[in-house]
Amino acid sequence: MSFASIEAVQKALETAGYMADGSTATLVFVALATGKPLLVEGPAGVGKTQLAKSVARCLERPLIRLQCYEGLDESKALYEWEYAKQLLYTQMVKENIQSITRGADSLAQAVDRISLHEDAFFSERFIQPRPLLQAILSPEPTVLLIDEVDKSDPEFEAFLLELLSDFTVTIPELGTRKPVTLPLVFLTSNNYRDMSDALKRRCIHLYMDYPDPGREAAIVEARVPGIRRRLLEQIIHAMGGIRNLELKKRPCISETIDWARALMALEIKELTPEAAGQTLGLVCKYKGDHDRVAQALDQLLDSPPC
Amino acid sequence: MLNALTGFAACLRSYGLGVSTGEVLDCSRALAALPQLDAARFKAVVQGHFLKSHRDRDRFLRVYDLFFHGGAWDGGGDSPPGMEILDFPISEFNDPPPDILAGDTPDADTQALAQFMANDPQPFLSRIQALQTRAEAPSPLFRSNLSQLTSRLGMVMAVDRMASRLRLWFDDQGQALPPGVAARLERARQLAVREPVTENPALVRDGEDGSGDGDLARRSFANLSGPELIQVRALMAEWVRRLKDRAGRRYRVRRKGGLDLKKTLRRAARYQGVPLDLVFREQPPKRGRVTALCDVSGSVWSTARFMLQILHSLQDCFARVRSFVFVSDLAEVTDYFTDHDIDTAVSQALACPEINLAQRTDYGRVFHQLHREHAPALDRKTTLLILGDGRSNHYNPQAHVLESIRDKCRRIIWLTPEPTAQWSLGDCELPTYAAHCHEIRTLRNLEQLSRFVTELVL
Repeated sequence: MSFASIEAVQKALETAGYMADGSTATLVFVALATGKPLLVEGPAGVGKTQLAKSVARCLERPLIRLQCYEGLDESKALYEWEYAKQLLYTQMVKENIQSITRGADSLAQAVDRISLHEDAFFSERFIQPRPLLQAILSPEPTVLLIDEVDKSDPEFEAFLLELLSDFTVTIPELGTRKPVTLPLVFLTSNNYRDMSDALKRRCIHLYMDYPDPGREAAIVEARVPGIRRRLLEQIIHAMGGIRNLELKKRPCISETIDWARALMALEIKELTPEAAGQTLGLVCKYKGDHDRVAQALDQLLDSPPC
Repeated sequence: MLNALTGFAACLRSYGLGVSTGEVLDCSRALAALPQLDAARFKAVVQGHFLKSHRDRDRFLRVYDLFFHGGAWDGGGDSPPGMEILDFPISEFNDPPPDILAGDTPDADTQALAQFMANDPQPFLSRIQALQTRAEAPSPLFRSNLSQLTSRLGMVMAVDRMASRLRLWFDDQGQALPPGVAARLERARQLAVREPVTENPALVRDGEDGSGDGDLARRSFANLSGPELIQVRALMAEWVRRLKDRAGRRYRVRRKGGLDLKKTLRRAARYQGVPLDLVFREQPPKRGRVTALCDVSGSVWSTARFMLQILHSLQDCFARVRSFVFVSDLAEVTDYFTDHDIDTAVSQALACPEINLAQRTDYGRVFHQLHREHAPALDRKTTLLILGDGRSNHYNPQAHVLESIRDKCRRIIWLTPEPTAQWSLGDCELPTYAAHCHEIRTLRNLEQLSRFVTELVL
């Protein structure tokens, strides 16, 4: 399934519970149409991972996720030989091996005879496919999410280059594997470190920032159904003020949603300084930030939107 | 369409944003794949293909507006490196009354400035350059480091006088000061207070830390305004994070030791005694110790607080960091920085009973105290960083104490916020101390600071 127009992308994402702005929808459409990977950058918690999940949901494709971390290597990302399984099979077919080597005159001849059968041990049966190989070999098209690619090592990034440009994987014992279907690739990055130019060149770049108040209200409304209009406006207004303070970690959309859920659960109908102060732990994740926001709370809630 | 894209890409390239041919091709393909095209979508697609770093966003948008909308240059914001002098604000008045521009007492500064206002910037620029590159032989009678400052002050005052004369003249005409004139006056003032670039920018160019905010990173710490200070701090936090990352990676590679036979054999039992998994010993990396000694009087303090902040946020890259601040007496402030965030720590450090900002700096006394009372802070593995301008108010420099300190520690690095030309002026004792330091470097902006700390850590 693919989209006919950019409006269709936006509408489909909306039904999946994701409010995409114009440029996000356009770039998702372009990524689908040209088969290029989409590199999504932005502060933590603005919905980068959620975008990939929602796209997978509305395309009805399986989502394959690879979480990157320092020390991630090919054997964990691409494929691994299952040594234990190979050994087990060798044990079980010991007698067959003896029947093959029986009657051989020399050791060399025995080795030659066995070598005719080595394909049996280096076959796909003994390969354990990891996310990247799974995405390439999958018979149906998938959405591949390479999450927090900035946490991986530069060597792994270089390895991704080959994969992202033509989606082929070379396994020395088996040869080159061509893709069955082209996956739609999302890469997300928190700008923890700069990605190499070569990687950026192969991707379409999308920068996500904190949403404007209108879009944020729409997002919260979609994710927290039944929230009162008045409370919602107060939350969005207060969030805007909190983000303008000089904080160690600025709260993002997911924190707004959590906060709204918490206030709903506590059956708070009006955001007073007391109510906000009690639930501030959902918004601020550092003590210093907590204190600073608590001090400014009266001001933040002072001028409610009309 | 392709012509417009290649033209735009060429403009971006000349503006310092790298765009490859492949990206132009990809972009044109993507545009062709769109069913309907409007301005917002076009911009989104072009931005997605040509702008690959959020830091370049402002520059990209400016070129985009100029290229596709013919937007006017507002003269504000950052210019490409080295180009800021060439932005010459367009003035709207064509017949400046020469006597108003020249004033009553025409001196060389005012004349150059008058020509600058009348569309001929060359004399003004060469005068500024002469002021900034002039090095004077120290006079034997009166030693002072003020001559550079006073000559530039004269220029700034000339600009101010010119501004008030013009304002009066325009008032008499019954009109307000035209924005073009105001912009040009502002430019003249900026040029007069601009810090000269001491290094040859073509010579030293390490792209690794190129943060894209070159202008801010090259500005002296002492000249930063409030909001800029916050910006610089954010830049620094980002840079510290990247440096930690790099250091971590290097340490990991370095940590690999020899084969751990015991563990390898134990693992091999899983595979019928075949050693498939090799296990290596880990060696803890050797990390340096740092003792920082910071002058917190006057102009040095603006640099010192950045230095202290960086050292303490990089604590895990060193085996130990101890920091002391001083004016005339020494006080240890390590604990403040480990227990509190930077702002609290800074205010607490300044509130130390030992620190009296009204007193005069006495380097000799401070070295003596360090040597006598804080001997454990110095050993053969410790690098001693001294941050100060070396202006000891003509007290006894006691260079022999520094010499015996040098025998106790690994190396002494002296960081001063003053450029080399000023070391021989006034009460600066740096030439005396230089004999006992392993290294002396100028440290006055983020670029120099980050380069120095990178060398220290890696």
